[in-house]
Parts: sequence; structure tokens; C-alpha cells
Amino acid sequence: MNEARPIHDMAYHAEWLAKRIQDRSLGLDVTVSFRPDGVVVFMYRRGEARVPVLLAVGRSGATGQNTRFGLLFAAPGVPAEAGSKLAAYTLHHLEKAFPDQPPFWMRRRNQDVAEVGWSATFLQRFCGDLIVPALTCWRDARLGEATFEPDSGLHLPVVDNTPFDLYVQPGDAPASGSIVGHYGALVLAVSQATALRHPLTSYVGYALWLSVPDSAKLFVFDEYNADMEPYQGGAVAADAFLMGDLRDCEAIPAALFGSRGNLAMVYNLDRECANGMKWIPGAIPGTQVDTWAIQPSLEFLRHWNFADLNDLDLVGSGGESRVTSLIQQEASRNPEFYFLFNGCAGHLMGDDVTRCFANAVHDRSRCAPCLGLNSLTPDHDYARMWETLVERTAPPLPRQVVPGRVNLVGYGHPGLKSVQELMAILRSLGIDDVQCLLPTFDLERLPTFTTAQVTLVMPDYRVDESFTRVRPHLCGKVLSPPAPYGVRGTIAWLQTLLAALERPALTQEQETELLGRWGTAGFRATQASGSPYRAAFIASPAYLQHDTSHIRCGVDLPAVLSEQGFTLTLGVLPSQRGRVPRLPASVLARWRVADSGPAGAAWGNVVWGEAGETPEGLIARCAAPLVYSEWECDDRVLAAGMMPFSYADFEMGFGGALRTLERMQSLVEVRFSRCGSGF
Amino acid sequence: MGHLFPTCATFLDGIALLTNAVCDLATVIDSRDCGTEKLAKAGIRQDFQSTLDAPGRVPRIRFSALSPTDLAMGTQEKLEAAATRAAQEVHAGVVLLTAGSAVQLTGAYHEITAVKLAQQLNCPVVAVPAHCFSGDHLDGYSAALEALIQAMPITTQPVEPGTVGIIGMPFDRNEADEVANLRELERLLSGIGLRLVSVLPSGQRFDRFSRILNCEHLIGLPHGAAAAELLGRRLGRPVHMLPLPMGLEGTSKWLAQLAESTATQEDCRKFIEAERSRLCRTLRRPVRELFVGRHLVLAADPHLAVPLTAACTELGFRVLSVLLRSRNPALLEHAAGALRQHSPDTAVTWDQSLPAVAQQWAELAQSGVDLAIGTTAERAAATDLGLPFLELGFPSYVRHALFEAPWMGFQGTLWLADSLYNLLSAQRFLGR
Repeated sequence: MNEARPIHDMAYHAEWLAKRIQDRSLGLDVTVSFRPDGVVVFMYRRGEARVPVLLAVGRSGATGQNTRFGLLFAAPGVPAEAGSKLAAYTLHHLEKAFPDQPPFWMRRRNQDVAEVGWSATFLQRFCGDLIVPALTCWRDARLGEATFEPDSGLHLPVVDNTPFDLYVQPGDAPASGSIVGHYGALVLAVSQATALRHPLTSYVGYALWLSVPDSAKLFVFDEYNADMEPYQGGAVAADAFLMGDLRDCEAIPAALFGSRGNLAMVYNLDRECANGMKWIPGAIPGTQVDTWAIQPSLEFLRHWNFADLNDLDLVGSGGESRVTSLIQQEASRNPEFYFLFNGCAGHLMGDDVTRCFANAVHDRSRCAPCLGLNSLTPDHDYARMWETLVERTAPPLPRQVVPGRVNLVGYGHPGLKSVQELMAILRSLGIDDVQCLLPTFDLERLPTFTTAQVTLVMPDYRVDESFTRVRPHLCGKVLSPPAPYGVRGTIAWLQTLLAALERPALTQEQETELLGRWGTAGFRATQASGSPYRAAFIASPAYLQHDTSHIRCGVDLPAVLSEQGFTLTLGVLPSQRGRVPRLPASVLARWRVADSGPAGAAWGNVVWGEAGETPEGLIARCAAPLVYSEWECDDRVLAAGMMPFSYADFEMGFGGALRTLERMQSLVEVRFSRCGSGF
Repeated sequence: MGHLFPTCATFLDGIALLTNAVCDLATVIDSRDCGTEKLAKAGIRQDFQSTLDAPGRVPRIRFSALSPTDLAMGTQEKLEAAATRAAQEVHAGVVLLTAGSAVQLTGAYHEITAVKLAQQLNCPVVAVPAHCFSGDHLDGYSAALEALIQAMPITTQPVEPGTVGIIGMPFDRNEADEVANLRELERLLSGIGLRLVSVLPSGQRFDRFSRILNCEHLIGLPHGAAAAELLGRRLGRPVHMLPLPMGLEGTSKWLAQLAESTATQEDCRKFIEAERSRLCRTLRRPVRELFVGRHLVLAADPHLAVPLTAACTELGFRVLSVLLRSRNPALLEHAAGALRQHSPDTAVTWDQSLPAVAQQWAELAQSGVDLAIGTTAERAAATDLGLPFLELGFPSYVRHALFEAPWMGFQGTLWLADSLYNLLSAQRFLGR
């Protein structure tokens, strides 16, 4: 770019490129030409025989389908073997032609395929010398004539309703500096209207976008259209947080990391993607909201490897080489399980993490199992991961039930105080072969999973979704009883388990002994000392129609609150049209509330929202000191002088029931919030 | 090898921070819907007073919620739909469009979309080119602020003598510490006879940005240097580019430099003298008793790290290492140079992972480290070593500001000394 030359001198570019492709090692002559549609044609000749290899932008040679990606492929009709060989040959020489900008995708792709794709970003490396000239010939009138200028490099005016100028300037490498290792070519697109600068990729993207016909554009879908319950959603609570992420496969390693197993984790991601990961901490001290859940623990991060894709990697070596070396590095630790994850960027580049694994670990017969997932591939989630784990760790068929063995699925992290207490209760009843699964797994104990006599599954749809795939692998009974919240709930849960294990039911004496041992005598005393309190649940009529609307994350709210001595007030929001519908008797029974009053008036335990009434107004009219809200520190509730509570405040088991009651009473009795209501 | 999770925040974190700092700005990120934690990071966790998302409100950061197919076939329609909805639901004063890493990879181009949407929605819509693969939160914050300055209508306004406008305020939350910084800047400027009229951004609405047009003097702070330069160019007026005012010496220089062309030198000298005298009276005992010769490790963004290191050194600390929380080569080079000049013995690293920070601090701790300053991202490294830790900068999920105490200016020096003294005093009580 040191001498001015016309940008449209395609013969010059063709000759320049042909010189770099030609080496006669195959005994072939090659000529290069640019087709009007932007395709670069490498025509190989030997005598009369001609084999065209095409380099296309924005168009697939194989299917004729429009895409955003560039492709290198042998022209249709060329025998596969010859096409493949010549495409590989072309790639090899293109790579040599751009030695300081190695197009890595060419090298790793030409091992076994002839058709090669790359995304628009990679094109920027070719823009100055190849692609932009081709595009300027190719696309519409909005692209003005470009010129090379010795001082400012390539100058390309784009004529549109937001005109901008494109400059490609030779990069000036810094003279020295320990920090800055490399400055690439400075490539800028400057808007004439706004003076904003864009990377060249924006321009290429724009040009490629022009190539997509309107008919190929997809329908509009906006998920924010979905109606949301004003009081549900946004919860970040201990167990609930774990459960909520079950459908995101990226959270899997955290689940496995909590186990005693030795796990290798390698992610093919850029930082932005890594920054959006859902993290699960290794251990959670209690059921209270863990506000640091989005910050992974130091110990977890010591084992979490990622490719850290950046601009140079995308153009240079890509994610695969780094992922391969990270797998090799991890392999030296002899892990028991490999988890590999390919993020969107890696997927778009065509990286294949399982192939990296194959390259990195040569003797796979002696290697630990590996699970490789793609973020853009459907069905790659917790359920799939769990099924894979079970398939690879389960004893061979036929399997036999081991009497007394129990699985607890979806009851939370084994480090939770309430889960530990449940296990202790079971041990006191002689049930000591118990495994807790979901959201975390214990790789050492997993082989015993399929042979449990009884598997108890937390009644929550997220757990159920994750459990579906492994259910057929179990040879024992599978039950989903109401979760052990509250004293009565815990006893009922134990009775269900004992019955399933075909053991005698708890006697009155055993119940008394258990209640005494776990401090539930204190529960009764605490319960008795409290005056009848009110707690409110605000919801829309549509939400209340659901059969399980009263159960949030396994907690049967009316049942547990009732046991604690609370009266529940149901605040029914007006519908969007302002109508205040009646609730069926079954709904009222489920919520243990009565409704005999006219709409708009508080009557019994239901408060009906009035047309146009805001949630804040309804909260005030419910006049309950506690209001259910899964928004952390819901300001609508706090501003009304009330306290928000949610399932995150509830703990399982006898001791958990006592702690829950004390917590709820503390929330009711706190005088602070009422001091500031109305401000 | 640098292949562990970095402590440095990302480009979109910076965009989210800026969105949080302009109360009627709606940002649409052209990406899949897997980045919702950004709302929590810049909003819920960082800022108790955030309006990015709250019950009963619509979120101000949206995603175009792309499917895998969209990444190949084009995102424009979904982006437009999301932006339209965001503008209407948020009643946005301005809408900002940017992209996630996968969309950046496909080369999506948003500027034309922004122009089209601005006409349709009758509100400014600006596109910020994404730099997800190489940028950091400072780049994101700066680029978004620059885009807003670009979108700001420039009208001819009468200039009020003696007034000051600041561009590039590191306003990473709406809590009392940042509000106190604004008050302190106001107090400092008032002390030299100037009146602070506008600070960008400072939690206000976008239409309030125009108040800066009345200001006689413009100050550019490093977190928005590009935006400040752009505003200066657009107005055809000079901008005083200054570092963050921190520490006794740093704040004094800051005022003196400003006063050279804006105020009476004598008034400035008197004000600085009075302030320094006041602070020295308060600080001499803690400095002698607990600060002198204490070893400190520090992690901060380059704009903050340089003046913070100087402020700590001035209080008597020996700063053993500084982790620069950035990956912007130009910023790193500049900050590393300044640190080398100021305290040549300080080890300077940048863009480290948490395990690497933990390892470095552990090695330094073998010969004695008394205290660490950093963000939540480095807290675990200090906790691991049992080091007292002061949280400053983004992210600050553990320390929140419930009352007005600045970290800038002379008052900020007192706050810093107060915080460090109490941490060290508690350690001393425990016999450590």
C-alpha cells in the first residue's frame, strides 16, 4: 500500500494472487480471476484439463443457499478427490501468501475436507488486498469507488443515508514496550455523519448483509413479549439458584466440581461469553440468598480453563489449538472426567472441541470419559450431561436393586445444612446408603445411582426436566412426594420413604423421639408464643389457575405457613382488561383461603385487585406484614413498610422448620421497615 | 498461561455501567439471551440504587434474543424489535445499540439500523461498535459515553462565567460514595472560585447532558477522555484533560493545574493550603502509628491505579505490587510508565486471572504484606491469605456506601485513610 494504484485494477490483483499460488509442485498452471459476483476463481490447468476452485463471499457453493459466511470450495462438477486436493493446495498457498496473518482455518480444515467456511471477521485480513476490490466490483451502487493513497491507505466511501469512509492504514508497530506485543494494521471506518469509528469488520458485515436477500430474513421474535408474573422471576436464592440453572449446560462443571471427583474443564470461549456464565459456587453455607453466586470461588477458578479467544486468535490460530493444549495440560493430572464446552464464537468458527480431545488424548481407550457440548446445539443441557454420566458409569446390565439404597434427586447441594440434617435423620432410621444428586454430582458415587431401591425426586419442574433422561436407567422405585418442608411435611416425607423401602412406618414414639432430638419442641414453643400473623401472596388470576401455583421451588406455601401459625392473604391482581374474575373453589381450597365478598373489597383471606390498581396499591390493601416476592429486597414491598419473603427463607427437615419459623417471626417483628413506610 | 478466568471486567460490563449511570438510557445488546447476569453485575449487585432492573420496572438493558440461525442469517429484525420495545417501555431518552461477541464475529453493522430507528422512534439511537474480543470495561464505558456525546444535540448557549462541566466521571453506581464524589468535586471547585454545573455521567437523564453546553470550562477525566475530546471538538473549545483527583498531592496538583487557566492562583493556593493543613492535622497520628512502612498490594483500573498508588505512598505505605485491571495496551503502557516513574520498586502486572493474583500475592506475603486494595474480583485472593481488604472500584459487590463518603479529593483522602486505618487497627488488635 505504499504506492497509489487504482482499486479497480483487478488484473493487478489477479496477477499478484496467481504469483503466490503458483509453485508448479503439482505440475499445474493457475490463473486467478474475479467474477462480478465477488467470487475469486483459481483455475488450475494441466494441458486441456481445467479444475476451478472458488473463493466465495456470502454464498455457499454446495447448496446455493445464502449465508453470511465465506467459502472455499471446488466448483460443482469437479471430482471430489481432485477438488479436495486442489482446495487444500489453494489453502496452503493462501496461507503462505499472508504469512503474517495466518488464516488458521485453512490449515486445520484442509486435512480432510474441500469446502471451507469462515466468518466475516476473518475477511478483514484480506480486505486491503483482495476482498474489498472484489466487493467493490460486486455490490451495489452504495459503494463508491475506492482508491489507494500512500498516506491514508485504502479509502472507500460508502454512500448511504449514513455515509461513511473506510480507511485501511498500514499498522505502525511500537518501537518497544513490554506490554504491547503487537499492533495490527489500523483499520477504521469513519462515519461522515457522526465521526464514529468502526472496525473494518463492521463494513464487511454490512457488505455481507447486503448480500442476504430480504426473503431469507427470518421472522421477528421477541421473548420480552412474554407475560411475566410480577412477583415471580428474578430470584437468586441458594437452592433455587442452583435449580434455576439446571437447564443451562454451562453450569455443569460447577455441579461436578462439587464432587470428590477430579474434573477437567476446558471452555472454548471469549471473555465476554465467559463473563456471562452462570456460576455455581462449590459449597453454600445456608439457605439464605447467596449474593456472591455470580462470582465463582477461587478454588473453582483454579480448575476452570478457557481459550480466552481474542481478535488475534480469531484470525490466527483460533480456538482449537489452544483448547487442545489445555486438554493436554489437564490430561497430565489424570482427571476422572473431561468436560469440554464450545461457546457461540467457537461454534461459529467451526471449532470442534471433541476433535480437540481426540487430538490431545491419543489413547482414548485408557482415558477418562469426555463430554463435549456446543452452546448452539439444542438438547445439550443438564439432562443430556447426566444421561451421559450415567451411561458411562453405571454397572453393566442386568442390574439388581440394592436394598436400602436411596437416591435424593434435586434436594440441593450436599453442603446445605438442611440437606445434611435430612441425611442425619435418615441415618438415625438406619438408612445410610443415600446419595444426593442434582444440582451437584459425586463422580465416585455415581456408579451406584442406577441400583437404588428408591429414588425420591424433588417435586419441581426443573428437576423433573433434568431427570427425564436418566429415569429409564433406574431399576428401583421412583417417587416424587411433597418436599420435607415443615414438621408435618417432613414426617409425611419420611413415611413415604419408609413405605417405599418396605420398612415399618414411624411409630408415635419414634416421631416424638425425632422431634425431640431435632429441637422441634422449640418449634411448638415458638409457634405457640407467636400471635397469628398474616402473610400475603400477590398473583394474577391466570397464575393462580395452575395446579401447582401454591408450590414454589418445592415449598407448599399454604401448608407450611399454616403450620407456622400464619394466615395467608391472597392478593389477586386485576387482569389486563381490568376485570376481576372469580377464582374457582378448587383454587381457593388449594390456597386455603375463603372468598365470599364482593369484588374490590377485602373479605376473609382474599383481597381483590381493583381495575387499574397497581401492585403497590394491592400490597398496601393486603395489610400483611410479610409479602411473598422472589425479587430480592423487593422495593415495592419494603416501601410499603412490609417485608418480602420467598422460598429462599424456607429450610427442609425438623431443624430447618424451626429455623424457618424463627426467621419468619423475625421478619414479622422487625419494626424498622414500618418506621420508613410512606417515604 | 493466562487461560484462567480473568479478573478484568469486559467491554459489555462497561456498557452496562454507563447505562446504569444515565437513568433514561436503554441499551440493546445484539446477542443471544445468555447475558442477563450483566444486569445483576452492573445493577443489582454493584448498586443498591440501580434502576437498570427492579421489580415493577422494565429492564433497561435488553437482548435481541437471537437463535443460532439468526447468527448466520442476520439479526437486524430482532434487534429492531427489541430496540423499539425498549425505547417505548423504558420511555428512553436515548437508545444505545451494541453487540455480543458472537454477533461481532459475524460482522453485524448497526449504524444504519440506529439511524433508521432514530427516525421511527423519534429519539436518539446510537450504535456502539462492539469490541468484545479485545476490549475491557473501560473501553465499553468510554465508547458508550462517546456515543452519547455524539448523539447530544449541540445548540448555541450563552456561557456562564466561572462554571465548570466534567466529562468522563467514573460513576459506577448511584450509591452514596459516588454522590459524595460529586459533592467533593463541587466543593473543590467552589474552593477555587468555580461552580460545578454538570458532570457526565452522574445518574441524570440524557436531556440534562445539555447543561454542559453552558459551562465556561470543560474538564475531561480519563474514564471518558475520548468523549471529552469529542465534545471539545464539537464545541470548538478547549478541554482540560486531568487525572482523577486523589490524595493530598494529587488533588492539590489537580486544582493548581485547573487554576492555571481558570481561576485566581492566589485563591487556589490559599484553599489548598487550608485543606492540606486540615488533613495533615487529622492524618499525622494514623500515618505515624500504623501506615509508615506497611506493605500493600493493589488492584485497580489504570486510571484509578496511578493516583491511588500515589495517595497510598504519600500516606507512608509501600506499594509492593499493582495489578492493572485492563487489557487496553495503550492504557496499560501509559499507566505502567507512570507507576514505574513514581514508584520504581512496585511490581506491575495486568490482566491477570484470580488464581494468578492469588499466587502473586501469596509469594509477596511470604516477605510480608499487610493489606490489599482491589475489587470484588480480587477479594478472594486476599481472603485466601487472611489479608485485610479494602474494596474500591468496579465491581464492588461486598462494600456498599450507605452514607456519603467520597474517595476522590481531599475528603476522599480522609476516607481512604480512615478505611485503611480501621482495617489495620483491627488486625493489630488481633495481634497480626
